[in-house]
Amino acid sequence: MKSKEKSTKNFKKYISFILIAAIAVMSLSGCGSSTGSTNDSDTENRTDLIYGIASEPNSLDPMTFAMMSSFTVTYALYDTLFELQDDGSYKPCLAEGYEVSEDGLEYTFPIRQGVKFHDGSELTAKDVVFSINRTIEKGWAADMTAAIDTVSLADENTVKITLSRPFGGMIGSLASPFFSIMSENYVTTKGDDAIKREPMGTGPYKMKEWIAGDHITLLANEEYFEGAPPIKTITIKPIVDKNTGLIAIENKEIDVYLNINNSDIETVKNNEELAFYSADQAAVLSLNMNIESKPLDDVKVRKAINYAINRDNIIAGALEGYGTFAKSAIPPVCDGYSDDAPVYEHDVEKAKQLLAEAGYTNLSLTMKIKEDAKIQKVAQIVQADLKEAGIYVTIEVMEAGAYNTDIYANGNFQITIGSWSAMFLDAYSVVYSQFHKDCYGPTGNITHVVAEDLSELLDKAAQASEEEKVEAYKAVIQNIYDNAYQVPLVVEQTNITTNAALKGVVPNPLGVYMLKRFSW
Amino acid sequence: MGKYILRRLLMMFWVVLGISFIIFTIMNLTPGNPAQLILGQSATPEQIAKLEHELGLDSPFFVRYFNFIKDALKGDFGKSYQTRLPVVKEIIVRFPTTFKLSSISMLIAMTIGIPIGVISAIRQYSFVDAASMIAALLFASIPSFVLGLILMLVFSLNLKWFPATGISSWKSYVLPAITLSTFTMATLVRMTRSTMLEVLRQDFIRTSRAKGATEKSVILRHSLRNALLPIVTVIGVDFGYLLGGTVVIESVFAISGMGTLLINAIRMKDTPTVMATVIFVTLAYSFVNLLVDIAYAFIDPRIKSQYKG
Repeated sequence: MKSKEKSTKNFKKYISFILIAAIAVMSLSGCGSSTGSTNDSDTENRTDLIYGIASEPNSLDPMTFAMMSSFTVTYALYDTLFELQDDGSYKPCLAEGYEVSEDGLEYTFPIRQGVKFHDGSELTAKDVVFSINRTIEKGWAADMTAAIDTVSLADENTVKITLSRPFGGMIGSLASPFFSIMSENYVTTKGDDAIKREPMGTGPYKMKEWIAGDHITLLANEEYFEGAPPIKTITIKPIVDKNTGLIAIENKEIDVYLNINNSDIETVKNNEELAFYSADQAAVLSLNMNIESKPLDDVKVRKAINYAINRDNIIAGALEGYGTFAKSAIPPVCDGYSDDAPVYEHDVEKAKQLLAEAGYTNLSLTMKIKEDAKIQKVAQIVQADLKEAGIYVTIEVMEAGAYNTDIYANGNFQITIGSWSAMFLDAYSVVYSQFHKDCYGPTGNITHVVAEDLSELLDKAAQASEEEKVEAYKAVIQNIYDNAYQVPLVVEQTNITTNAALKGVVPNPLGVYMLKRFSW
Repeated sequence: MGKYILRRLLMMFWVVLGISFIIFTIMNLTPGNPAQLILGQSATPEQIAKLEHELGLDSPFFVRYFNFIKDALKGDFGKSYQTRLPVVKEIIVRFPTTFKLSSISMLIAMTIGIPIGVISAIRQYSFVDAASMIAALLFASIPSFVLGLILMLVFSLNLKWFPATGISSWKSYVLPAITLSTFTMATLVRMTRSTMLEVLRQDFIRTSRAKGATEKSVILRHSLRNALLPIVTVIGVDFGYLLGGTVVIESVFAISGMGTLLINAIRMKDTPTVMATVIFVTLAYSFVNLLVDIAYAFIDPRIKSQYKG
């Protein structure tokens, strides 16, 4: 039996080699410190929050990058002159209030005194003037800054903004992250590149660290002018895969996750340890037509397309029921929206008739869309609807970069499906860029509308006072309807899932959250 | 031997240079403008032109490639278009995670795959053989993101044994490493089985049995050692697959590694990041394969003699 002994010895040798190798690799990976997840910790005593976002911000300079997920972070680091409340109104924040001249061309803001930046220096009106000028210079919020003529100091503590034309969305704009208030001294000494990675403001949270690709940690600003926020440490953790995000929140590895798939909503609602909130998005998913390309220059063809599409199919087929019929290009949550808008109801016969009048029987169109599972589904439903009316659509799915170049930069397309998100909750933020002749092409008017009358109506609506706004936008919507410039399809929902114990969560149409309002 | 290694290292340089040119060309030819992507949909042509100038995108292709190589030889791979951070810095933070993940997966695949392959070969057509072949086929076919999600559901959500996301301790490596290892494991099982079967049928095996060697010695010393050559080759080739395969696994398990870096960089047409990432992975892969070739010499003395001269 000696041989058996030897073979077991060999086997043991083999196993021990494997174990040693395994230990070597494990020690490389720096095991031992098993912090693990935050499972079973008592939420009542918690002062930390782990916030899961779908993509890592590539910059935290709110003036130069319009990525919604980064705005939740920049709102925590910076303050704005005004702050959007959960009920849709605006509350003074770094401003103490405002006055506007009779003609609506001059806004004056007394700046709050005694507010300190994270580096200990005091906020002055000069910093505010510098910041707004930086916003204008960077040019990212061109639609919001277009009306601003000059920004100056009225006196030591008061800032004056002079407009070249009245602009009803001024206060709303000033509450957007683009108008975050920075320290002049810090920005000029550090330089633009540093602002992207090492933001410093007056906000409720300070930047602690940013480990690229892994997490961003924020610490409560104990000297915040409104009082220190209730949650002391916030970890922002990117989780790209939505299924993983769902498992992570069910497993309590994260406390907040935005926009889970519609097909998972039921699961989350049935989980007592999670809270689920949803709201209508501040965007309308629409079918856009390039009216410079034949045969879409013919209003009859555009009307036919409007009649041919059945929105109910899209809501049921692509959105699992979580969406509403879009009546116009203005999302219902935006200021200036009116429910009383003309709509092309689904009518295949009318569509066919209009096509015949325009001289087409079998029409072929190419639809370019971005690589996105939901949009692809919507596109297929639209394709089927249009086919019934005798319009044959070829779908071309494109990678995001190529798509943007074709649709926005080059205007090389016939029809496409996409949505234009509001940057602040005003109709202006959605329709101006999409239909004004000055915004032709890359800046948003991909329909290529150059009509003077619509541009005039848009200018009038932009300058309208709160009372006139709804009526002014009604005229805009009527014009878009008459010319069938666009097919508004559906308003999607945005959702947020949180640990059920987290308080202060009110669903936001833009998917941007004020972390200082959260508490356990 | 030293001469051989030196020659291989020199060859590696040309391989990397070739790959860098191919990737640079592809990045240049694919549609989409990085400046447009960074600035977003609503950027004006002036903003785009300004940024293109800042990024050096307005100079001709060959000038850009030449400048890239010139700087890269000095170890400077440029700054990411996206974050404006030096690319090398981002890679150094992430490469260890990806490398560890791939190595652990390879180790798992080897420790499980090779013994099962050997057992299947000696017990050909037995129940164990059939079961392991079916399992191998299953694991080779199942997409890794599906397996990853299943493992997460079972071991994170239900059993709470391991975390589902991120890298915080050794526990975090378990699920992604297992997910990543299955394909290689399946390949190794099948490879080991077939080469073992081939070797077992050869004359010298019969001779060693005839001279009275124990069965274990016949299997482990005589057969396995001879069967090891193709297995080691598969290990070398599959290591590259593992390094690349982490792209999917990292995004499923929300791990910050080379895979997520590369995929984001490709989406945003961030050429410096793509270039540096691919070059790093190429180097890692080439080194592993060099090690494999050196290992041949130790496994098979016949090859060692070829390396001389």
